[in-house]
Amino acid sequence: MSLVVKDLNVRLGTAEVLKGISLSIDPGELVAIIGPNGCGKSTLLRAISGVLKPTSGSVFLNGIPLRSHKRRMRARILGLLNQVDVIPMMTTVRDHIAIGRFPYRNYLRNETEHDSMAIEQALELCQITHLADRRVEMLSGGERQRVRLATLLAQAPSKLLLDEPLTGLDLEHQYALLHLLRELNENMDRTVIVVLHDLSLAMRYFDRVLVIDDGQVVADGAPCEVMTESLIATVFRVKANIGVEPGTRNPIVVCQGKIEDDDPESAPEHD
Amino acid sequence: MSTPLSVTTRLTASHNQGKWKRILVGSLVVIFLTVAGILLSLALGAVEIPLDQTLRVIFGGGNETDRTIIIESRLPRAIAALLAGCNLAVAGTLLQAVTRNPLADPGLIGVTAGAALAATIVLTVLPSSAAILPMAAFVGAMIAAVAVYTVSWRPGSGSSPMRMILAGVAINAILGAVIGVLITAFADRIPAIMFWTAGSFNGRGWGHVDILWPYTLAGVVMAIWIRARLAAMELGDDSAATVGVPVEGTRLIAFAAAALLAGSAASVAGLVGFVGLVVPHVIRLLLGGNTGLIPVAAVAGGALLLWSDLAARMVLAPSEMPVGVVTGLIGGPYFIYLLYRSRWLQ
Repeated sequence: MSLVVKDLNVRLGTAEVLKGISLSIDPGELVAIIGPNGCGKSTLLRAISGVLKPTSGSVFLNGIPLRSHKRRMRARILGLLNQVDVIPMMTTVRDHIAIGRFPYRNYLRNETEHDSMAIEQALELCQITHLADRRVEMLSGGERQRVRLATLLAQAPSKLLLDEPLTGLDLEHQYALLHLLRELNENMDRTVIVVLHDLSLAMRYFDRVLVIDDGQVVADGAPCEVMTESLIATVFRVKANIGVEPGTRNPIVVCQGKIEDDDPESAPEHD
Repeated sequence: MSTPLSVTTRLTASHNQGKWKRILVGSLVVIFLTVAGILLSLALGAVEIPLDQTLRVIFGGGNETDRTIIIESRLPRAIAALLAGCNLAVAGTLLQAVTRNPLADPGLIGVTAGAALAATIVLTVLPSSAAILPMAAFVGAMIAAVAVYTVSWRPGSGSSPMRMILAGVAINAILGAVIGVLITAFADRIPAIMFWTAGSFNGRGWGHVDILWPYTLAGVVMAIWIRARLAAMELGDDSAATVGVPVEGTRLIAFAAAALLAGSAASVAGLVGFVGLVVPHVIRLLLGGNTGLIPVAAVAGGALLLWSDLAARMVLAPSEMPVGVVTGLIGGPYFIYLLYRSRWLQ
């Protein structure tokens, strides 16, 4: 199922957050979205997921406008891990993850065996089986992030949208998550779209990088083509060197520091 | 996160066993309290009827006097208390879920103040038409609820929990001020207003039961119908929307159901505080989560109001206390005990 975004505009209050974004993401792609704070990355993910109604423009799933899909059907295709961390009252980890099964439930039937299996598997994949009976508000930020991730995995959408999923995770779980996403992408043919801040990880783990600045797509393509020192200087106002780690041949981005306004290589005016 | 696809079901089984055990025990406790409360409500009063006689009347026997007292007076009063308590508890459960605010109760959405203002108007301006009090209180509650929802609603973005709470605060302030004006102008009516405001089931009969039960039935059915959506909405509007919940529609259904439930309860019983706020918390603590919350909270709210009414009748007999006073006196300390003891709230 292809995902096509056509001329998407989103205005929040008086701010033009997205200014005519068009893009197309094929099934099975592994895409990183990068860009500075406030550039519209999260808004783009929210609009693609159907949570946010765009001011104009449309998102098409398999050629059909997103809005024409039934909510539950849409939720089986598109799942979003957002950044807002609302901590529910008196909810165990397992009950939290069970909410991911909502698109498969009907009004009268409770959890089926299939639901339980999906929940159990999500617990294991996120390494939180031992926390299943704990209450969510008792957990640390990183553990809670893994619970939220497990909820998305239990939802089992064919396209996963993740907004800064590494937030709050320790190094081990950051890499575990990235490997898990790759595994879902390669072995289960899931489309994975992730908003990230770490440029090295974006280059190393993703097949395609989408750079957003000021509500527009400014670059889109394979990491090695897209990520250049001049792009990083323009978009992030940071002086960076891109190199290759000798042993692993992985690309790495080493930042030298912020570009000052009087710097001769200075990028466009700071907003 | 790298050990995919080997699923153990052992944990689910043990987890579910513990969970269902709690729900079973919780339900049994609540049902026992309800049945015991009904029996005592029927047996106790100005004329004490022995339990065996009471049971005989329930199963269609007994002598004429006992039958009249129980069937015409005590039974409808007990049922009215059960239904009103059920309504308040379910209304509170719904509002706490959709506003994501543990302090939400029917007072928050203006229902209580709306009913109080309408009742105050009847008791001061139209004292001769006290018969329309239930209807007036219900209409007042509905108008206030609609006002709160309208104020909290914005074209484009709909309502939000925060705006709903703030709109409730504002509407409550306005209604409270008008009540204050009326009380000042009609100082001689203060006792009647106070008694209504504190809530009572004194003299409530089958007519009141007939007012209540359709709302109870409809409200509980609606609440159970949207229970999975409410659970998802506790994760936030966006998270609920991504799993396919129609967020705005669900909030409206829950709001409307809570207004009808609490409005009908207020119209029959006056203002009974506390039940809607505390019963959902107590039952969540008892059950350890949200599963089974709505039906168990419904019965528990009924039981609490039934026992409170019994105490209101008996403690200072032959005079009666307002039932709202009793709910506060029983429920407040018990809630503090739970807060103190529970490992869930450490």
